[in-house]
Parts: sequence; C-alpha cells; structure tokens
Amino acid sequence: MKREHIDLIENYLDQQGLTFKPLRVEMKDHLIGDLEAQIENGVSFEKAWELITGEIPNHHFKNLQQEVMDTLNKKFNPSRAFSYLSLILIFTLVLFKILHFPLLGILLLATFGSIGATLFSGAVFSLYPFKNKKESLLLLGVVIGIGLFLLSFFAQIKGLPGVAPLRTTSVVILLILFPTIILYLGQKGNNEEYILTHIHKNNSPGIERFLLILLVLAVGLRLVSIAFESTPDVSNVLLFLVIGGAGLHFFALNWHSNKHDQGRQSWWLQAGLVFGFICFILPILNNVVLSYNIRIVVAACFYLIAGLIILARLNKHINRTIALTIVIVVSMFHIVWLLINLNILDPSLNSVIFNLMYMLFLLGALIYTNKHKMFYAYMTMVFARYMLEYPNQLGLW
Amino acid sequence: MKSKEFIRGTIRTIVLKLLSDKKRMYGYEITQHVAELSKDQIKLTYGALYPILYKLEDEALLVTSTEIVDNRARKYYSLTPKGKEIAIEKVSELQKFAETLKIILRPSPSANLSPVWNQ
Repeated sequence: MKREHIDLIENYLDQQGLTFKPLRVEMKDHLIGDLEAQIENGVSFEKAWELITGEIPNHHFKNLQQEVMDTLNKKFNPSRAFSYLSLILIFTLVLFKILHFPLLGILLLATFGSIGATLFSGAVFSLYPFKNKKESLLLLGVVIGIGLFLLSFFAQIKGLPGVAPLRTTSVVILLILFPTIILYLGQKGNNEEYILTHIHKNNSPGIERFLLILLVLAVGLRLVSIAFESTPDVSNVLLFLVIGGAGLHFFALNWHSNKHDQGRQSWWLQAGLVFGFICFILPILNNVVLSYNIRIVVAACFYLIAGLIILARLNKHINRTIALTIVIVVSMFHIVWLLINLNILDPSLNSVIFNLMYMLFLLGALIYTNKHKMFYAYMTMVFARYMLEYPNQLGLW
Repeated sequence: MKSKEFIRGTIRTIVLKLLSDKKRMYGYEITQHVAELSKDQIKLTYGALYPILYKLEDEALLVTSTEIVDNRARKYYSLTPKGKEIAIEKVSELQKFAETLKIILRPSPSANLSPVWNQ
C-alpha cells in the first residue's frame, strides 16, 4: 500500500465517523486485507476501492462502533460502580464544603476509600482472564502503591500519625514498579499485548472522564473559595488528586506508545521515561525525607522532561509548531515559578506567569490537545498545578 | 446458505470453533477462513463479526494481542482457558441442534407426493 492509499483509508474511516481507536485499527487492517486480496487478483487499486467501499453502507462503521460501545458499557463492572460512587462522594464533599456542613473528614475518607476500591476492583476484575503471574503482580503492586499513597494523603490531611512511613513506602513501591514496567515493556518490544497495557487501554476513557470531572469540580470550588474567601482545602485535595492521577495516566499511556511507535523507541526515550517518573514521584515525599527546595526542583524537572517526551511522540492531530509553543510556554511557567520559589527571582515576577491571559492560554492548550491522549494528560496536570498555585501566588488567601 | 438470520445465531459458535482450531486469528483472517470453509456460502460482514469478537472478549472468552505487520497494527484473537471450555460446549450444542434440524427437515414419507403424480 502506498502512503496515499493509507491516507485514503484513514479519511474514509473519518468520514464514516469511526473514532474508537481499537476498532479503527482493526477496520483499517481489514480494509487493507480486502484491498490487497483484490489487487493480488489483478484488479487496480481504484477498482478494488470502488468494489469494497461500494458494499459498505454510509455510517456502517459508526453503527458498528455504537454496537461495540454498547457491548462494552453494558456489562456490570464493580470498578465502574465504585468510580460512580467516588464521583457522587466528591460532589457531596464539594457541596458540604460550600455549605459548611460537618462530616467533611468522614466524607473525605469515604472518597479516598472508594477511589482505592475503584483501582483495586478494576485491577482484580480485569486480571481474571489472564494467567501471566508476573504482570498480575506488577499491576497489583502498582495498585497497592497508589492505595498507600491515598492512605498517607488522608492521614496528612487529618493530621494523623504515620504519614511519613506510609508515604515513603508508597513512593518506594511505585519507584521500583513503574520504571520496571517501562523497561519490561520496552525490552519485550512491540509484538504482543500485555495485561498492563490491555487493562489501561480498556479503562482509559473512564480515567479521562473521571479526571476531567475532578478538574472541573476543583476549579469551580477554587473560584467559589476565592469569591467567598473561604479556605481552599477541598479544592487543594482535588487538584492534587488530578495531578497524581493524570501523571500516572501519562506514564501508563507511554506503555502503549512503547508498543506501537516501533521506530521511535530509543534508549534515550526509555531513560527519559524512567528519569521522568522518578522526578514525578519524588516530590510527593514528606518534608522530613526530602526538603521543599529539592522537591520543587525535581518537580520542575519532571514537567520539562514530560514536555520533551510529548514532543517526541506527536501525532498527526497536533500541529508541531503549536505543540512546541505550548511546551515552551508551560516550561517557562515552571522555570519562573521555581526560580521565584527558590528566591532567585523577585516575587513580583509572579504577575508575569499568574494572570488571566496565561490561564486562558493553558485552558486553550488543554482543549486543543484533547486528541492526543498523552499531551492531554500532560496539560491536565499542568492546568491543575497552575490552578493550585494561582491564588496562593497572588496572595488571594 | 446466504440468509443472515441463520448466520446471526451461529457466528459466536463459528468464531469459537475456528479459534479452537487455530491458536490465534485476526478479523480479516476469520472472514476469509469462513468463506473458504463454506465455499463462499457464508460471508461475514464487518457488522456481523466485530461486535461478536468484542462481546466474546468482554466475556473473558477471548484475549487479544497486537502485532505490527507490514507497518500496520494487527489485532489477534485467541481463546482464554474459559473460552476453550465454552467452545467445546457450544460446538457440541450446535452439532446436536443441526442433527435435530436434519431430522425435522428430513422429507416425511407421507409428504412425498411424487408417487401420487406418478399414478
């Protein structure tokens, strides 16, 4: 198949409204198979194309996609039930906060418990048909690491003891497992589907929806907190959850790209991912273990590395110049913020990075990147972090 | 046999049977194999095959693996241990059903009118 033939097929699938990537990949392979069979029989590409597409009714693939999505959504999934429960609890939490109702602590514990149950049931439920013990253990390890982090986060918010050991254990587990997975998938190459990628791929739309709802709620609550001059604690928690969730999602999306972007795999990308993950996870360590200054330097490094990874993995949906501009603007924000917080730059420079134009730019970038899952996860993190810092830096509280 | 209504109820079992014979297959390969075995009497359309494959995967009867072949991703399906058990069960059920159908559809001696016409 020539490049223009492939483009023709891609355009045809676009016209048919086929957007669900796993199905699209199969339809493309199937169409090419049909075309190649005709061409082997001496039919020209043009004639073969006419014959094959002539048999397919308009919007056939869109209807097929709908049927597939209905199948996938119909089945009861405890993980999905817990994720809905988590959302209800978060909504209630936000409402209670706005109305100054009591029981915030219990609600917060229930929310964290429900998020943990979502992850755990999702992993166990998805692992059921698989027999690969090594990958199952890796996945369960990741879930336990995240669970311990949530527990330590709750203990920190409520001022309970045991934050440092819980947090450190969680960081150590994740620090061992994520790079192991990155290297494991990198070494195994592109030729197989792994449990980890399979489960993450199946849960990706749900994860993205969950993070988006959380982000919208957090930003909404942030604005309410500013308007009514109340404490921003709940929106802080939500924004931290968005950053953590989007960060892990970002790295998990790289597992897929490791598999599919065969030609682009290189040692420096693997090294960047491992180093990037270390920089992502270390800042969540407690102050006792790692000083604030070191943590903010490491966090800034993560955003710079993640930006470079994004640029290495752009797809046709994203304009390269626009992507580069976004990454530069985002990097500038992190560098200036870091230098101000290290007392190298004057705090008055906060107004350069914390202003309405900058915020709208980041919001626009978030919307623009929604066709590139990895870029979108990155921008979700960036926007949540920006919103986390915005009112603090301008002394609004 | 070209009627869609006959095919619709049996695709599930056909797919399970083919996958129990072969270690793994991809969508296009399944349609080609069915066409070949049925001497072009059964043609599986996209709309008939893929929802069934996704349903079987969702029921944990199939697992998938993706490979890059000729610069494009190809998704292979194979049976899970549970899928293998169900495949044996379903094929046996369909065979029994086909036998029963054969008995029902066998021309009854009383309905054979040719002797009447021959008189």
